[in-house]
Amino acid sequence: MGAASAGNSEVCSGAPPVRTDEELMLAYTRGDGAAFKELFQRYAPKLERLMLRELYAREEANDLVQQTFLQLHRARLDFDPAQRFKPWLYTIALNLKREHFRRRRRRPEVLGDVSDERPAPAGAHEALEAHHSISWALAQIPEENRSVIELHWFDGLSFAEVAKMLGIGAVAAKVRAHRGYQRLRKLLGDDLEMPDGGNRGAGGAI
Amino acid sequence: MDCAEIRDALLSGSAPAGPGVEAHVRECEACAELLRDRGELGKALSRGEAPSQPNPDLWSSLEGALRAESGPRAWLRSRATPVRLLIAALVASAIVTYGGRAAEGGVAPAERPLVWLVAFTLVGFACLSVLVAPLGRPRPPPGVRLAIVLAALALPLLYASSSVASLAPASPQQFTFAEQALGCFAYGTFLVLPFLFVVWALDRGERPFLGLVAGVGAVAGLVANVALALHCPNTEPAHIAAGHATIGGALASLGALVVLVTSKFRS
Repeated sequence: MGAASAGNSEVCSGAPPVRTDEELMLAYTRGDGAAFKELFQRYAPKLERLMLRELYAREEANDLVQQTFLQLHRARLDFDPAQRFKPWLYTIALNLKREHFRRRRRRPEVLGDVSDERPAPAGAHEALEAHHSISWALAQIPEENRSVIELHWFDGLSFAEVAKMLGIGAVAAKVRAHRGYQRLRKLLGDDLEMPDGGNRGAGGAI
Repeated sequence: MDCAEIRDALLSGSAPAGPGVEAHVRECEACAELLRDRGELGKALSRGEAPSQPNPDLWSSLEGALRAESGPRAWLRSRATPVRLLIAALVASAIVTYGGRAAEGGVAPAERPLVWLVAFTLVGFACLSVLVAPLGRPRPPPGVRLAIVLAALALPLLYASSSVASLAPASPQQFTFAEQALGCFAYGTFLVLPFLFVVWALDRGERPFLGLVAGVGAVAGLVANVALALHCPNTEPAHIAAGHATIGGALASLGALVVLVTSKFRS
């Protein structure tokens, strides 16, 4: 059985079987435009979150998401159905993100504004605050640790896939994640939830 | 229990426990760190995702960008990578075939340095393959990539140093050393302009442009050197070093300079 059949398939009972990412991409290479739109709908929000983790301007994040799909379109004939689609897409996205920061020639030092003119849904303020704390802490740790944590924890790629994307071994990817988690624990300090469910204190390191 | 299941459990707000988890964290330090103190770090990270508000205009904006992807350049750069490599190789071959002929009324070099030409071709192809390799496919580590580009720049100099002077009798002795070197430099540079244009057209913009420009300059230098090795009757080491081998370095440096200056103005 090829990797394609093991791709991300969300099965809904009663509904027609949902095509895997790999099936959709293959369909797009054969001219099925609707398949591309489905991939976009499936991944654009995830990629937007990926971009917003260190890039605080939603407009720039959206621009990078668009460029990611544009690159995907240009490289569509290089798609190998025997390989998983998601790591490929994330490689393109991360490369664009890295290049974006290289152009800006600076790391984000302060929290920016992820809000825009659209009204925030209920509970969004707390979510935004938590996101800011984690984003701030992530921005403080070395890139080699951050990229592994982003791809494994936030984007759900396996350590083997992350290792392949970054050109390192799976054991090295786990070690990088472990060290990154240790640093995050120190940085987040009081913002970590206490075992009894409460918080260690307000404010803290952030 | 594996890393993915532990992650999923933490994301759903619970800290998984049990013999299976204990067995896993004994082997996996990363998961052990997430689950320490009843999974406080894992739970904190699970609250750290940016609130998602998908932009409804993004798809229509992308559709516009996709519609703009038309014309010969869009067609060229959307070919599969082996096809793009083949196109670049065909253009390079045409340049060598055309530019490598002996000048009208002139003479060809006394010897064809076949081994060197094969070496130039192999290094040039390796360099180009690395430069246009699609994202997400295995590539040599950065150090090896740099070494390939440096080899492409250094090979013509090595060839020059190993060359044996064998000036053909009909060589234009009336020209000075500088004039001959400049003539070959200009001829070789002019020859590879179509190659540079085609590689630009084939590029998808996937990788940092600075590295691409420097690498392509080095490959174009090899193409020019192959053509000149077949065309120029002057095999004097100093002439080859000054008039032939400098083309790759000059193109790479000039390209890098142009990219740096334009990006500075843009920012």
